[in-house]
Amino acid sequence: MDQSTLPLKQIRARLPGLLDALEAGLVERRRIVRLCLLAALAGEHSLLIGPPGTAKSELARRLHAVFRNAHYFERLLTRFSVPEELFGPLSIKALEEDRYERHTAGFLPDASVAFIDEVFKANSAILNALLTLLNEREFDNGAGRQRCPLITAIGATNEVPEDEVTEAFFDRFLVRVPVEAVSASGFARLLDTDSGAAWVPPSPETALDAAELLVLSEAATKVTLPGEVSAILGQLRGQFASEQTYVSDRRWVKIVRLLRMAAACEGRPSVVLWDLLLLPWCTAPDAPRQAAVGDWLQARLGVRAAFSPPRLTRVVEAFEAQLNAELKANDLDYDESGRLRFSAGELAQDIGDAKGGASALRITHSRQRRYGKLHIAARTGQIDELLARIDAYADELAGQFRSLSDYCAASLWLDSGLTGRVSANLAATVEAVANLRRRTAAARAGFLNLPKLPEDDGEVPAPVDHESLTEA
Amino acid sequence: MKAESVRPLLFEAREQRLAALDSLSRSLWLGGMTNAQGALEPRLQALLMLRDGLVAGRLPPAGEWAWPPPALASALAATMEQLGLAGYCITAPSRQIWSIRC
Repeated sequence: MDQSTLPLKQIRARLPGLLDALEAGLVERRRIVRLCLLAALAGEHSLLIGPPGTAKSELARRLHAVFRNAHYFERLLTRFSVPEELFGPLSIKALEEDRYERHTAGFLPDASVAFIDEVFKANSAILNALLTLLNEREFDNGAGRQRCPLITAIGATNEVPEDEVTEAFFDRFLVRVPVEAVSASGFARLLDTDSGAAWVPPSPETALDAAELLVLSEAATKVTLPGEVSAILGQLRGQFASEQTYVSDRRWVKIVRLLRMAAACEGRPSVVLWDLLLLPWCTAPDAPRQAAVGDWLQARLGVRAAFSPPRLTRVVEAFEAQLNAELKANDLDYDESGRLRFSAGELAQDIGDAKGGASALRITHSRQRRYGKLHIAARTGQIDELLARIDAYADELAGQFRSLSDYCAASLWLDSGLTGRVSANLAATVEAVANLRRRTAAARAGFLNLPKLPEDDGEVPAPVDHESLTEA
Repeated sequence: MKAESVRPLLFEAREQRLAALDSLSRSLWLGGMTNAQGALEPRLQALLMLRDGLVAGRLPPAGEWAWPPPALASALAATMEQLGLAGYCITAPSRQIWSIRC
């Protein structure tokens, strides 16, 4: 066993238990729990957008227990909040010595995990200090800069701000998760939860310490970003640009770091396409636009809905149409002597026949066309090529399906509702391609069953005697 | 951000090989697909190249045709040249006919 990877494996093995502990007793908070922990591991901050009473602060309180020896700080901001509430009181002793410094112990600059409720209600003095603290993990304390141990901050707000002043601050939260009241289907479960029961935090042995966070961070830096993933990131960036939506370069860089961390936590050496399903909460600011980004990504990955590849479907339809045309095609009907065949039957039903005319011999106008071996062999050859083409599509699809199934089985970060939906859509596409194959096989059988010309007996006809043209 | 118009990555390369279908009228792509000569992709490419050339009043040289095989292509090109097909195609009625797309 490679000893260098042993600590990482041990850390990874603890993550599912930590997620279960965070989620215990909460109803429909699976996605939020996962995204907040992932953001924390990636050294990023999360913003929870939703009404009061939706377990936002509870989640933040729980999150700090995931990290060993983590200091927790929590404040509710109002328009009247002053910097002292967040950053600590001014030091009287320092003031006596003409220095403007704060006692930060026990306040935000000293916190590992912070929860700031109604975060956008902060005034500009607080916002500016927060910007530096969140972005650089430093706090300007008097003439010096103080290093802050902040792992992650969780902000909460009822609504997304629209003004320019708070926009820069809004951009500091990489993960933005809408939080709603529990659904009608989850309501009974919510009522069943024992609100009096104390939450049991993860044991200190399970919690992550600073050294382990560093191991994870180093593992994430080694995760590669394949070209196909960066290509889609570029396309998504183009989509945003076409809609005059600005996503900062800083945010794209942080997104990739978060994707790398997601992969590292699952023991993968590279980011995979399915990781991109995490992007809606990192790129778009609110639920409707996140849904639109999610739709776009799922459509681009081919898992938004079941679909039959349109051009391949046209090829199948063309052969079905060709078979239909060949089945309906008629020829003039000649008898063995080469004369048009006399038949009493063909028109009999169509004629008002008081005088028995239907029984008179008539020349039939046509018969169903018959086809030679060469024609049928050519058609079945083409169909066999088409079947091989469909099989190649099916192979690609099977590869994607395996990849998605493996991803879903190991995924810590995407909620099972989403992975279940995309898996079901991909499974339906598998069925759509299988259906194309069935239709093609049916067309092949149809070509094989075309009416056949009589076998060529190989006898060369005798020359026809005729008078010499030159003599005439 | 409209998901409906997004081309899926899944099958993208395989579907791209049949991209000529989108630019051919039904009469051309239907026959192009079920013709037994040669392989499908070169056949569709050649049909598209011929169609585009003729609509522009130019007959592509037979050496550039990806389909049919050279001997047949040369004979066809010679016949089209003899018939003045390219010139015919840029006249108004024929242009309308050739410009029909599915």
